[in-house]
Amino acid sequence: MNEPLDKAFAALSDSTRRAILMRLAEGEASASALAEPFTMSQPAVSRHLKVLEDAGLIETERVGQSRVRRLRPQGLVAARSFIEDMARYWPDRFDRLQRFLDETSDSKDPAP
Amino acid sequence: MSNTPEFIITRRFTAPLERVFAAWADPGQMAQWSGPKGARTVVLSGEVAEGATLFARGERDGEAYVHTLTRYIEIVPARRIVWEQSFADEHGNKTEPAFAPGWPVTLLTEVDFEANGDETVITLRWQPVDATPEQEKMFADNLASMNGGWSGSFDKLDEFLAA
Repeated sequence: MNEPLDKAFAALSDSTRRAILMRLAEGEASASALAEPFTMSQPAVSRHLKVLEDAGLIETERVGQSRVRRLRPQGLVAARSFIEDMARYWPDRFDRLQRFLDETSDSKDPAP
Repeated sequence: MSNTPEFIITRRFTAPLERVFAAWADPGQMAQWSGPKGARTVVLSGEVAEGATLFARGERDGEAYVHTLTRYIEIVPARRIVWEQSFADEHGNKTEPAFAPGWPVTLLTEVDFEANGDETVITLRWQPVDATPEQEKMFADNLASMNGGWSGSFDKLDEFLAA
């Protein structure tokens, strides 16, 4: 079991939370700014932010009276790498298959 | 009608049909290209034959990181190969992979081969088997809707992580 990755994937399984992450990829933001694009209450957005923070995907910093959220790259890298592996699964293999076919073509000696 | 999400990819290969088919049907050849980057596949038991199950270990840097069970359902020479692949533990029992919680345990892969002159066109279909709605959703979110899905929208995240 890999608990941090479990939490990260649970957090990432929701489209609203993914949208929040995409928004934060553009720069840090306050909770109210993050709530703006969504038709949901501030408390609902806060709950999503808590899930993301517990999963280590975002962090909070207090700036004066307000708090801003920003991405936490360390948390995202592990989750991201698996997703990327899967999204690239067949395209990558097809690239390698073509190389394999090129390397073992009749014009050269077949692989031992 | 099935609501199971499906991932479809088509690719043209510059090699004759027989060679492309052999690269899939011969485990020795398949092992040379079918693992992820930097990894290699070690066949532990079984063979590529209709009804047979291949048990294999994926290794990266000399260490096992995954075990798979591949049950071949249909093999039509130079035309089509269908198999079900499941993640497994080191004893060959199907299980959810530790590195991918929430991902479907078993995926069905259908590969159709078609000659096009000296080239070969492959159409590959990939879909979850006996998956929970949550696992199907995870598959769909990441693959079945590559364009609308969020794996396609990682560019911004990449820029951020690279910064």
